[in-house]
Amino acid sequence: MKKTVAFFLKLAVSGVLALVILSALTLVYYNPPVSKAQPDKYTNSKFESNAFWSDMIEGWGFGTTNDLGYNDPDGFAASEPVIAVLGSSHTEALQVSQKKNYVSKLQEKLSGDSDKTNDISCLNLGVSGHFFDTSVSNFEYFAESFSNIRDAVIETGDLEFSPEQLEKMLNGEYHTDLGEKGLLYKFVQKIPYARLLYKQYMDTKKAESASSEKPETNYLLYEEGMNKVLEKLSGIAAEKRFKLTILYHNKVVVENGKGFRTDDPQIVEAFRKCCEKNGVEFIDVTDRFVEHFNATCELPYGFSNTTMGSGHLNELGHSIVAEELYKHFAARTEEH
Amino acid sequence: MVFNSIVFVVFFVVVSALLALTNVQKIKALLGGNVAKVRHWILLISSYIFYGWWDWRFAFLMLALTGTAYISAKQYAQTKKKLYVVIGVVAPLVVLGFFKYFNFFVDSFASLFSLQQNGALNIILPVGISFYTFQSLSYTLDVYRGKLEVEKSFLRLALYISFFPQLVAGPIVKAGDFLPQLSEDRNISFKNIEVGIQYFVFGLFKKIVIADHLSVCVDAVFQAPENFHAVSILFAVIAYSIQIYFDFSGYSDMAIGCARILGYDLMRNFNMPYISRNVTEFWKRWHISLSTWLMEYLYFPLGGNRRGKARTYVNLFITMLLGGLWHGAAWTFVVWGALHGAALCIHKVWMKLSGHDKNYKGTLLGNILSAVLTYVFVCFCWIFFRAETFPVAFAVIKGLFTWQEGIVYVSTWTLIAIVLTVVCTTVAIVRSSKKNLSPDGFYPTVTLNRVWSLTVLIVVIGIILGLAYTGSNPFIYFQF
Repeated sequence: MKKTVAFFLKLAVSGVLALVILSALTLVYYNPPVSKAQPDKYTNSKFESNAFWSDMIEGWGFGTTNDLGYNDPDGFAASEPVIAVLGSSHTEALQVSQKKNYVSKLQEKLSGDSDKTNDISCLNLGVSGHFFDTSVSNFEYFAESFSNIRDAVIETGDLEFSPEQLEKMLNGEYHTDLGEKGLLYKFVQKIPYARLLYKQYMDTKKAESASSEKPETNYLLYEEGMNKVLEKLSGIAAEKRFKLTILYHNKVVVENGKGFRTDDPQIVEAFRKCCEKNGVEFIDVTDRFVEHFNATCELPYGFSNTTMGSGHLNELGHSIVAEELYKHFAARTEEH
Repeated sequence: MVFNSIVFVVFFVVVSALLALTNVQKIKALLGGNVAKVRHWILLISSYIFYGWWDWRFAFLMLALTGTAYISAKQYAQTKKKLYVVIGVVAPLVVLGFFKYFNFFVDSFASLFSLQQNGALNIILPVGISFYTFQSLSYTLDVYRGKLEVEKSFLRLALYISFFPQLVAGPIVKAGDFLPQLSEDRNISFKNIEVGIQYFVFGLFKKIVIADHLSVCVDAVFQAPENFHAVSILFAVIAYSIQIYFDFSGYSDMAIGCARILGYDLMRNFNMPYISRNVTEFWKRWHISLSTWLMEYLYFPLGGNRRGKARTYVNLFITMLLGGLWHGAAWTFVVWGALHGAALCIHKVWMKLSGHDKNYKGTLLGNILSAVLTYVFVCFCWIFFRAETFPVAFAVIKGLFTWQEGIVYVSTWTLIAIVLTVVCTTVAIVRSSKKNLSPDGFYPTVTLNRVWSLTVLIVVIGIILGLAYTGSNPFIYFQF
């Protein structure tokens, strides 16, 4: 009996020591910023402010969140004109170091044009899971929360939506609040290793669930619905006197050594027409991705610790996107 | 039910708990002389539950095969009529042939004569059929050759064939190695748990951390080799050599670990195969249970090396050809086997010409060069093993030899695996040389009665859970 009790005591001590060691290792391997509720609602959640983060699961990124709670290296100055970028995990960009994501690179390029920029700053408001539908649902809150927006960019990797989805976007149904979490959740969030285990668990469940097939698109209904969405967005932008740009990117598929787009060209064309009709700028970087691949065999998505060609934008992808955005905004700055 | 699943952990804990109960004095006294029998029944029922979890119909198939082996060996022992041995050998082979090779031969015949393929059937391959078929053959043939007494207890024979730790992917256990263990007082104990858990964790790390991560880059490259740069292809081939080794040896370690926890010893199945200086040595270090089985039940009965040089080479070649076919119903596996068969023959010729015998030690530089060349050859053969079709295999080879342009993709996990393999192999070689032994792998086990060793074990388990690949990746050898 004594031996058994002694063994279990040793086991308990070892468990605690092991948790400390594992958490220390996880601080480097997987330590994303802790999520918090966003009371201003322009995103469904935000991160803890001024928190160091590191992520080596896909790519290797590290940085510190800004005072607003987003993956931006600079503090937010309400007095300066801003190019604000809303988007998904591609914009949040935890897969590359903070200075290498496209918003930071855009800032670097614009700051280099000191005689033209008038101290414009770029604000990264990307949050994982914030696809186009979420950005649209939160857009009104975004417009209300910032008074110094000169340009707003909504990043998206997908333009295919059903009429039902477009309707939900218009009604703001993709806005959700993170909500107040219990003590246990908050406690677990503080233990890096526990967050890694939770991520492993969620990834396993994702892998087990089958992906559903997309239904066939009715292009007329699509154009009708998307027009309404963009009309709403451009109306909000016009009211608050800033310009809206949609930034679109899609995967490059490689066959027999050649790169191709695989998105539906009719959808892309319909979306472009809707943007034109509503005075919304549209930047599609996919052709640039394809051209670059065909010239150099380099892919803009994927990492050596996952797989090439899929997943998130890598450093090359971020560079190309930053270049395209810079060309677009450099011209805009000249107008100003 | 796979080893790396919650279901299996729960199942194993329940089985272990039931067996542990038979150690309790009061229960032991109650069972009296039936303790061993009860333990065997627990294991047998557990094994059938384990196997039936895949598909309940498979369990009946295995029971039927067991019955055939039992009856044929018993009848042979009583009557000495070879007919019963023939039945005991042919019946399992026919079953194996039907489930595994029927569609392969129908499709091949149709392709050869450009016929419409109407004859293929919708056949589900029972998991592990290649393994337990070989085990039942081993029993029948050992009884026939007088190496083993006929097993009077159906329970013990059924347990030997269905013992769940090694049922679906080996190691292939010979009847003569396992049946005697069933006569001994073997059961779960703290010492067995201490050692077995460490073997299991060792294997789990190899499989779900290293092998499964390597599969990502291997699958990407082998799916479309024409898209990748020669460097990417080269690293994918190296990655596959490590993936298949860690996947299979990892499973074997887990099987050996589970068996050890339950009180039984299974043979080691791998022993640092990539340091082999020649193909003959490779087959003494790779899938040892299969190569031993093939040698004893195919190569020797064909005549081995006792019928002259030419016949020796033919026997070697046939053995490896059939060994390749055993791995899968595809011509790429046959070619893989043929390449190894040819290499074995060439090595035999080389031994004769150079005057070296099997105890030849060689110089350090010579040994390193031989090991590198052997590894390169083995990797070349793995291309055929991995590629699903010949066009894919040739595309991989072409990409390598023409230094093809394309996507550069050198997986971080490949580099990690290479470093890990080199470091661990070096440690094992240095350890062996200090003891004046030829290079021998070992399990780095420690006593778990200290805080530091428990901490290390929990940290390793934590690392496994944190780094495990979360996509789906069945054990490679389940398909065989």
